[in-house]
Amino acid sequence: MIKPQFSISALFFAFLVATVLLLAEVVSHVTLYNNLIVKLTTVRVCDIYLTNLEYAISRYSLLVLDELLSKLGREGVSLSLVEKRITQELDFEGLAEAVSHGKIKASVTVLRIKLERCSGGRRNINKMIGLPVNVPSDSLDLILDLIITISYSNNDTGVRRRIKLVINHPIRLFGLLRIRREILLMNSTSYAIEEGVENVTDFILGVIKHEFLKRLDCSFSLNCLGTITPKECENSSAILYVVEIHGIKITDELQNTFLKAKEIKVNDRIFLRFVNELNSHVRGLSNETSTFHLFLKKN
Amino acid sequence: MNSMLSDSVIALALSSVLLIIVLSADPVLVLENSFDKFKRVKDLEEEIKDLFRHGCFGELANYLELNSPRLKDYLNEIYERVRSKGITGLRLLVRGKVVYTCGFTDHGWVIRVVIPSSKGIYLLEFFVCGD
Repeated sequence: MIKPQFSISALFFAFLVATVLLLAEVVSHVTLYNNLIVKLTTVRVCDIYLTNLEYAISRYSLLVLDELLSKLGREGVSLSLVEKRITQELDFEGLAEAVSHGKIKASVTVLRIKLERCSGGRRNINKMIGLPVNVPSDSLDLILDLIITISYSNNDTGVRRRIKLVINHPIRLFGLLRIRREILLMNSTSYAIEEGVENVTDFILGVIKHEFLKRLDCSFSLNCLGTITPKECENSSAILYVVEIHGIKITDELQNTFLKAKEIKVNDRIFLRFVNELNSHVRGLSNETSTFHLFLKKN
Repeated sequence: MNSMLSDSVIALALSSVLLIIVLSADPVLVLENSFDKFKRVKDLEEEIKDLFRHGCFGELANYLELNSPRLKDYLNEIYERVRSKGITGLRLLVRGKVVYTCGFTDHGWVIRVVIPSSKGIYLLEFFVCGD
């Protein structure tokens, strides 16, 4: 009969348990560090998507704002209207869906959308979205306050950040609005035809050009159509020339990017009155209405 | 005394066997692989973020917007720039339709860059080698 050579003693058992525990510790640490590295890798990937979403939101918002300004430029721009419409039209869900694929899920929460006047300067974000880094003063800033979340594999890992994006549209909207306001104030102004004027048409056009150029700033241009209608005044020998100006378009010549919004239209008609009190012999106008087209640019 | 010594020897031998079993799974290699992948992704992240910072995707979007003939050359330039970071190919899509491809786009995992334009959303896919 063979007698068992070894008995399991306390020391043997202790050695075994200690070794197993040590190995378990090593394995758990390796797993922990491995998981940590995998999560850090995932966070890095999510970070790429976060930067992409920042870029995509900036460029998309700029395009929406441009479309809106270009449309309203033909109808009638007011800042409060632009702010209201942009809030309605910006929809980041489509972008978040486009970014999401596979295990990557993106979501955007809008906290605030605001429009502000820009006082000029440099914007690094412009380089990212393909616009010149220098932004003009009197242009429009779109401020977006957002929370962007990029998660990987059902919120297991990811990044969540609150970001504030300041997107500049280079149209000098505030300058254009000021010029439009000043042009509207010209309505119903009367001018006297000075003594010694030989050609009324030249005189009237000269006055209109002077008045418009006075209101235009550097690198703005103005395009308009007009008619001059002579009328005889009742109870006086004076001749009245009514000038009706319409189709006024003010263009920002500095806005030379790919963006469409470059001008605003003055929808109201402007009436100017030129009075020839002296009724002296002047040339240049018959009794019929004459039309003109003006293009003025201030460099 | 003799029995205790032999028990210890057996315990050490069993521990060694366990150690060998654990080490055969090579935890260090697992860690090294994960760390290598992390470094590759980190390099790639910095490169792609650099492309964003330097306005490459902005310029690309402008070419897309204007239908510029320079678009394909520019995509190749981007590809040449990132291929050293483990990118095997690029693919440009609009509304699910492939517009342009360079390099190999049949394997690897994908990093997707969304480029909005007035014509729709373009997707530029970077194919990264590995899993």
